[in-house]
Amino acid sequence: MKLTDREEGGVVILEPKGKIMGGPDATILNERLHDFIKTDKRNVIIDLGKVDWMNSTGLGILISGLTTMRNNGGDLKLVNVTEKIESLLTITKLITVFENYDSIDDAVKSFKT
Amino acid sequence: MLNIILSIVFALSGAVLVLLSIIILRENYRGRVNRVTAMMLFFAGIAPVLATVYYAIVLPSGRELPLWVYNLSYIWELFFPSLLLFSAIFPVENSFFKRRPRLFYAAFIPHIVHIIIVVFFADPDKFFSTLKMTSDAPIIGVLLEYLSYVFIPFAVLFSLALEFHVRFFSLVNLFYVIVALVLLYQGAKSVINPRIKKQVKLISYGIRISVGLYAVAYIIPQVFDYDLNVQIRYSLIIIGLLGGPGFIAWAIMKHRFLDIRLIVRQSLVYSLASAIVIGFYLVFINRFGRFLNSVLGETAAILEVAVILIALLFFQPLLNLIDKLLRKGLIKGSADFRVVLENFSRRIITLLEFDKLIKEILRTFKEDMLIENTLVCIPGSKGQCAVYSPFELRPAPHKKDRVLESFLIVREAPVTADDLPTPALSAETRALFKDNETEIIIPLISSHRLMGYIALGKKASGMAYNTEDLSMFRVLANQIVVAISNARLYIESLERQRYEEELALARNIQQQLLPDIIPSNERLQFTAFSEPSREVGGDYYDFITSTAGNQLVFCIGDASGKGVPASLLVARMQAILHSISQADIGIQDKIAHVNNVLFRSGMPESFITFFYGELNQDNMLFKYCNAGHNYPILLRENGECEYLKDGGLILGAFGGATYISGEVGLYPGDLLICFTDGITEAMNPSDEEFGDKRLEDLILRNRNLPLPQLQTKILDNVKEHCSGRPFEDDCTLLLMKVLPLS
Repeated sequence: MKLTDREEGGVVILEPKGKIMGGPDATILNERLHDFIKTDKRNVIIDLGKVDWMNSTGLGILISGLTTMRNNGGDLKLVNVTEKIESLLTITKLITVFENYDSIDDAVKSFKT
Repeated sequence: MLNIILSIVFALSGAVLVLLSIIILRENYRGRVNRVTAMMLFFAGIAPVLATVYYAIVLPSGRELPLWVYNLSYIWELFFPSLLLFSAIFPVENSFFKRRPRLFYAAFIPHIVHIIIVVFFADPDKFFSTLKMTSDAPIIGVLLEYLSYVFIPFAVLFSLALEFHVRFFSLVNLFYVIVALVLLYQGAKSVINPRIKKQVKLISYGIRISVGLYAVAYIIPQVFDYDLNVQIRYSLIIIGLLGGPGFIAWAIMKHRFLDIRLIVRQSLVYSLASAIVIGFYLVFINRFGRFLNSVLGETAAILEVAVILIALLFFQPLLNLIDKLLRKGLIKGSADFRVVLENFSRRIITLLEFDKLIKEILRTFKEDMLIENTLVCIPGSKGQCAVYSPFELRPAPHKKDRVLESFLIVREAPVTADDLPTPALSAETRALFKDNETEIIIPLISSHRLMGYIALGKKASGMAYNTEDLSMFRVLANQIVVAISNARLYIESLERQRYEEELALARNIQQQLLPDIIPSNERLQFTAFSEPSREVGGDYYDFITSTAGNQLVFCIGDASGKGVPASLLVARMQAILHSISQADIGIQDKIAHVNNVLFRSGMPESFITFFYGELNQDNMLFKYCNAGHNYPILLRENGECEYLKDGGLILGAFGGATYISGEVGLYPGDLLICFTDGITEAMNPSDEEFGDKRLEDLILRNRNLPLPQLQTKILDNVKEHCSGRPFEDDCTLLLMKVLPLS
């Protein structure tokens, strides 16, 4: 997994690329999220458009990220969820926990309301 | 004839000592031990050389030299103060002299005065005649005459002193030698190193022999006015002189390999070998020539040439042979660095225990290479560096010094302390190196990674490290790296073995979590298969028969991740489930309870997808709750597929989640297929999943097969899809068939 980030309207947008699996991926994302919290950025969007595959550990990483942000008074929302990942979210019923949007704009706006 | 051979042997031996002295000085001309040893060997060597010059050149030429020129040869007696100084600083510096450095050089005063006297006042009579001053000038002449009367008593006293001096100065020398021996013994007492002890012993033997010979040849005749044949006396002194320093030279070579370069040893061997061969050659030619003369008379001249030619032919091989023998006896001792290297590598390669290996490394540097204060530093995890020292049983922890480590990686080869970027090093490192009196640091590098480093203190001899030492350390470092790698691999293999044993145990425990008996009766048939991708896995299925009688509980689950962490989660899950499954509460509340307990005890990123069902065998009503698990497929008799989705979130990730339960009636011919994602996400070589669709089609096509065959069919198909590769994920398949009423 490769991870890039940028900011738009006070919201951090993370863009992972490739497969989200266990091992170092978990640490990379977790450390990045904690860095954001330290600099008082608590609203994060993860753009999953370029993630082609995710296993159960990958899901665990997203869950842990969501918990981290919510425990710190922020939120983590998903954007551009691919069909494959959406079905994964549906089966696990995580779709009820993660807010997910079709576009980054929608997601950014959702933080404003 | 004897004279010639003796002269040659003496001259050569003397020359070797002088040569050795020059090389020792060149080795490190600033070093005190070097200077004093060189001086001692030089004065010891100069005497036989001067004697040979006299016997071989001056005497045959028949020329008379002035007496003071002969007396100049007395400078060899400076050997005695040099010996005294040597013993004052070797093997350890005497504290008395250390506190009084000037006194150190004052030891030379008596001898220098002595030489001045014997050179300038070589001829007392001549000296007196110059005192008898006369002058033609009337007044001055009278004055001078009176003055000379004044001088005469002094002159007489002086001549008496001179007489006494010449006779008894040898006693001063004797005194020096005795003091030297005492100092040497005192120094040896404070030495722990067995090799240096041996060395000192050898040196003291040499000095005792030479002092004995000197006493017999010189002191006894001088003091007791006894006349000894000049030649015998001379030979005794020279043998004595060669003996003492010879023993010292031998001791240096035998027990201290670091301080003498290979070239020196070779040249030494060569000179000695040549001396012996030339001596032998001369004797042989001479005797053989005389023999031929007596037998053949006048024709011998031609034959003599032939003999010389033959002798020359044999000369080189003979020289080689002697060279080889000498080398074997003299150089290839336990102290030779090649021998040390050889023994060292033989010993350490077989040492697989890390601590023992480090001890052997420390021992080699201390005992074989005579380096005091060796430290072996092995950086470990968590910013720590273990420092092993020969004086401590356990390594002392130190903070890692990144600057030092990256410096050593760049330099790769052994470095001297002067080359270190000392100001940039951490205070702890600087203190460590200071205490250790570190002079050399040897990095241990394996494929650009620093495995550790060795900090060497001073040599026990006090001599400085030279380039030969550094290149040898380089070779040593490579061998140590190999040995440490081997020891580490061994430790790893031991750990892996233990880990595997533990895993096998864990696997056994996990197997016992799975039900032993798969229930079956006249109405229901089950098959179950579960295989972890690793030794232990995170898949789980279970059957719980209700104590109430007609209730059958079964479930399937999949913990996130793989291996040991997942299996621990499953074990916990099973415990919670068994404690709650018999409770008289709704199925959704049981699952919510399991979720809450798991959530409280776990981390949010680890979770379980879980399908739980309770079948009432009286009315065949099946209640279930699907907590985020792959939808089980209910294949009806008529070929319709239903997916059992009702439930809620995965377990353990979010506290307080609520669940709903689903309810279906089961009828004869119904087939329920529960599985984990290991089945549907099994990949073929082109990264294509087996998928839900393929599974569904397969079941539809084969639904009339007996249940065990259906299970085999599904698993075979999945395996075929993976092209025989082992499963990447844990795979579990649970099949249930409602049997037709008979």
